[in-house]
This record gives sequence, structure tokens and C-alpha cells, in this order.
Amino acid sequence: MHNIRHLITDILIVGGGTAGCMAAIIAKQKVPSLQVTILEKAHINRSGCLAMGLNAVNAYLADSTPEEYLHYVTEDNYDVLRSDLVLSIGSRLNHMTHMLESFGVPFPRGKDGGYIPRSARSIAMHGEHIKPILAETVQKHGVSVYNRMPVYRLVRNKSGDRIAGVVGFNLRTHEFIIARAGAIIIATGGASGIYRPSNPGLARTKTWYCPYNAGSGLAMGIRAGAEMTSFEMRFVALRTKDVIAPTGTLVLGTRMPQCNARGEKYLRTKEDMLGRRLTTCERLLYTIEEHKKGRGPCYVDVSSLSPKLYNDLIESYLNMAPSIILDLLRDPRHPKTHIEVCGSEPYINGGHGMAGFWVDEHRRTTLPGLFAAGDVAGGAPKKYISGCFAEAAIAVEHILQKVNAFISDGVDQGEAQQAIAELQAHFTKKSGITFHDVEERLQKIMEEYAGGSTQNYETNRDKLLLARSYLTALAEHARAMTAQDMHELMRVQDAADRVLLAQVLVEHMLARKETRWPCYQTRLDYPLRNDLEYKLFINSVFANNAIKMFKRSLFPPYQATLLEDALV
Amino acid sequence: MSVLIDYRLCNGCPGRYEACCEEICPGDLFRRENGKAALREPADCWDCCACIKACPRAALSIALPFQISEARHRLVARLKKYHIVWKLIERSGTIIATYTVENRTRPMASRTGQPDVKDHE
Repeated sequence: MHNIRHLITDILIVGGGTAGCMAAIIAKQKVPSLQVTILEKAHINRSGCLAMGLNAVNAYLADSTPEEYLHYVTEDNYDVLRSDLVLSIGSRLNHMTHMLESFGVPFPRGKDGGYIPRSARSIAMHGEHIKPILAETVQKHGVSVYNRMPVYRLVRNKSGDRIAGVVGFNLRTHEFIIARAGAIIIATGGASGIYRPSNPGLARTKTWYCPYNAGSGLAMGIRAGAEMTSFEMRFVALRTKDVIAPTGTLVLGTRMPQCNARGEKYLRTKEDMLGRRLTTCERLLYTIEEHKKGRGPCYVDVSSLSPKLYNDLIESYLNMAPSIILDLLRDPRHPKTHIEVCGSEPYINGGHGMAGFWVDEHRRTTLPGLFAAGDVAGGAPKKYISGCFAEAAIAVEHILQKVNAFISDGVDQGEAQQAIAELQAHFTKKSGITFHDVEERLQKIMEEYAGGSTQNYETNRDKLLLARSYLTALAEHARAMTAQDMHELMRVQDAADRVLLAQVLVEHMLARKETRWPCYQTRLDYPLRNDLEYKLFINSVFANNAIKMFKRSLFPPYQATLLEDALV
Repeated sequence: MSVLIDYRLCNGCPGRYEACCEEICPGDLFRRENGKAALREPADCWDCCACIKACPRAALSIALPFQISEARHRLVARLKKYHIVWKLIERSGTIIATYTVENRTRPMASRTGQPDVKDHE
């Protein structure tokens, strides 16, 4: 029906976003003769999380050490994380930031010539053009970039002992693609669109996390049997209401207080009471508590900002989330001074949270030949953009050291053809079920039973069991989704991937019988943190059409214990 | 609905394999219909403004969907050598505010900042 094109390359990078671009640049800088190829779902100049721009680097250690960074992330994450991964990221954050600056992204400087700090680990950046600049740098280094080429399946080599290639298609030429490589880096980002969006109608896609990140890299890893970690630790962002823009720009950028409806600085009060700083999820938790106690809505109060600083705030937002300007200046004579905040819909994300591939210190996944970097790699929360760059560098350096071990030995053509047949099948389905139907059904199930924003992110065993059974039925029907053209085929695959991720997510949520990260992971039937039994990782592997759950201990050798009866 | 297309200005980028907005949209939401840009599904737009910055004719702008705001202002953007210039425009066409923000320390590779990449041989 469609032509098949074969691509062969030394290093194949799936996803030309933050981690993908940096991986390609570093590989070509170190070994210019290598053939490095990026397959990009959209257009590399404006794809993924950085499409809008970015106004800060949130992990830069101006006057602290990688060990202090690890200490902060560990406290913020209630002790469960891969300290080896976090530390390896911490030692590279500054170098990666300087590299970004050297590509031509402006960083404003203070009177002393240094970066302008927003907080202990955050510096301001004029990153409106960050993605085009990264793309230009990729281009300058002679990387082969294929745009509009989403990838949905991993394929093994002939002997079946490692991942040797991927299968996708080209939205413009309508060809199906079988690409094979010595080493493959997955850098497709996390997943949005699993929970119901906060806004209705034409505003439904005003999510914080990039709505075109469907978590396809995670889904193809799951299908191929890769081990996943910590899906139950969803990421929920505290954001400005309606336009769902970042609040860091407000709270860190302007140092303005967060208040409830009575004007009380409820977060500061809480911090004074506890005698310590609040964790990221507590800031969200206590905001929701204000609402529950009838003291909502909550705001960031910028009424005391001078016109000059208000203007700086607007410029800062234009670098990252421009549409909020339309909200702040609804009435241009009276710019908004009380900016309402709310929790976003939950996302699966390894850059802020720690859901993703279970990787080793070289960012090798459990599938030989396959590496993961950035939001798709689990275990290391709060890595942000500089940490995603760092992971790309770590993966590439390992690949280059072992480059001779990664000779491409061809893909199993039978497996590749079968993958293409599976993807294509949606063109001939006559069910009339659209990707919108499936996504809306998915979002309803997850919202109501698996702790969506309207449920205050809370759930329990029985709701999760219902979610599980509804998702099983949905997954079955999703196979019959119809696609009319290549764009719709992409959307159909994205929807199918989101359903699979939701199924894995629900199993993870069932398996963690405690509440470790309030809001990110709240079990009303186990409302307390249980360090005795659950200071560990919840991991999963999909095999023989079933999701196998197990615990892993916090430190090497990460001893695994199978959870036979995770469900009940 | 978030992205507004001014059909008096849009010429569909004749002579290009794809219109600029069609080429750049991270959601693959644009296509050419009757020689003009058309948004496949307005509700799927993220408001990232990639298309607005890429449009060579300044035919595109964003407004908030009615569901979250009754204000009908639009935001437009033009790329300069080292800056981006944003304008907030009232429905009547009156410019409410202009913001000029540095966005690069080196000149862009081409006018639109979009290098040729291997696409569709």
C-alpha cells in the first residue's frame, strides 16, 4: 500500500527535542565522521517542550556543589530517587548551560557580570529562540535530520538479542520507514493528554506540558519489554489558571508572595510553622487545602511590582508562554495584579518527576542497544533542560567509547514488516472510532478514577481497579480506531500509546500502597508515607500481554522483588 | 480559534513545498487549502506561536479562545536579527503595547531562522 524506505546510520536519535539535539551535537563534535541521524515527529526548529521558548535554566549550580544538588532533590523527592543518576547530572549542569550559551542563546548578566539568579539553582535566560538555535547547531554539525517522521515501534536484530532499529512513517511522503543503527537513543519526552485537560472547548489544548508529547518512546519501550520505573509519581505543576503558564516566572522571577483569598501568605505561614522549606508537591498540596477550607482562590500577588518590573515580567513570559500576556492585559489600562494559580493536569514526565525508562549510569535501558535521555529517562527528577542535556552527553559518551561494539547487524525484517502492518491496519478499520473518541474516553477514565485535578489528585484501590477494567476495554476498542490520512494515523498511534501508558500508570498506582508524594501520588486508602515498606522503586515490565510489577531497592544492586498480587 | 489567519495577507507561500506555518507547526495542524493556510483543528492548538514567528507575511496572530477570555486582543510577533518584536493589538487595530526582547547573540542562519534540513528528497 505504501512505499517502505530503509535508513542506515551509526547513531539513531528518536526525537529532536532537548536531549535529542544535544546528543546529536555532542556525538558529531567528538567523532565528526560518525553518521548521526535524528528522526523528528514535527519540525526540529520548533518541536517538543522547547517550541515556545524557555526563560530560565532551572538547574544551574552557581554556588553549590553537585552533592548539595543531590541533597536538595533527595529531600524534595522524599528519599526515593536514583542518587547515582542525579549526581552524574549534577556534575554536568553548569558545563551544559555554558554550552547552550556558546550556541548563541542570550543569558542576561548582572552588574557583576554573572548570571542573574532567580533562586538557588535557577538563572534567567532569554530563550525565545532556544529551539531554532539548537536546530541550527545540529545542522551546522552535519547531523541528518528527518522531519515529520514519527516513530512507533522498536525492532530487534535477526538474532533477537538487541534493539537494532525502529519503525515509523513520513507524514509528507507517506512512506513507512525502517531505520537501523548501531545504537539508538530514545529522546521522545514524557506524556501529556492522559488526564482530562483543565479547559473546555477550543481551549482544551492549553496544557502546560507539550500536548504533542504522547509518550510514544515510553510506549514503544513498554511494547518491546523495557523495564519502566516510578510511573506512579506523576508530575503535577502549579500553574497560572486558564492559560496554564509557569508560576516560577512569577514566584521566583518577581519574588512576589502566593496568597489565599484573604490575602494570607499561606505558604510562608506553613513554612514558618514547619520550620523548613516546603517541597514542590507540598506547595501544590497546601494550595489545594486552602481551596478545601474555603479560602480559595489562591493568587500570586504582584500588586507591589513597579511598572518597570511588571514590564520585565511580561518580557520574561514572552520568552516562554506568550499567550499569558493576553490574559494579564485583558484590560490594558489595569494589568492583572492578582494572578490566580491552580494545579495542572497530571503528566508522565522524567524531567520534573521521575517516571520513565529504568536506566543504568550510562543511560542504557534494559534493552541492549537502546539508550534513554531526557524526560523519557526515569529515576532522576528535577533535571530540567540542563539535566536533559547532561543525560544526552552521558549516553553519547558511552556509545562512543564502545562504538565498535555497536556495529549495525540488520533488523529482523519479519518483525519490521509486522510492525508496519500493525501501524497501517488503521487505514482499513471501519469502526468509525476516532482518536478523539479514544482520548476523551481515556481522559474521562483517568480523571475520575485515577486521581485527576478535579479529584484533588486523590484515588484509592477500588477506583483504580475500575480504571483498570475500563482501560482494558478501551485498549481493545482502540485497536479499531480509524485513520483517513497520515496525520490521523499519527494521532491514532499517539492515542493508542497514551492508553498503554495509562494502563501501566494504573498498575504502578495500585502497587504503591502508601502516599509518598502528595498530589503526585495520593492513595486515600493509604494516606501516610510508609518508609518501612515503600522507600523503594516500583518498576514494571510488559511481557506476554501482561504488566508484571516489582519492587526494587533504593541502592545497588537494586534488588528486585516480584509483586505477585499488586492489585488487591 | 487560538490562531487567527488574516486571509488578506496569507498567500499560502507559493513556490514552497510547504507553507511556512505548515512546515513549522509542532502539532502538524496546518495544511494548504485553495492556496491559503488552513488550520486542521483549532482546538488542538497549543498557542506556542511557532507559526506566527515563521509567517513571512505577518498573516498570523493569536487570541485567547473565548472559553477562557472575552478580551479580543491579538498578539503578533516579528523576528529581527537579534530580537523578537511582539505587539499586542486591540480588535480595532490599535497597538496597545510593543515589546522588544533579545533572543539571540548571533545572527540567524537565514531570514526566518530556519536552516534547510533533509526533509523530502
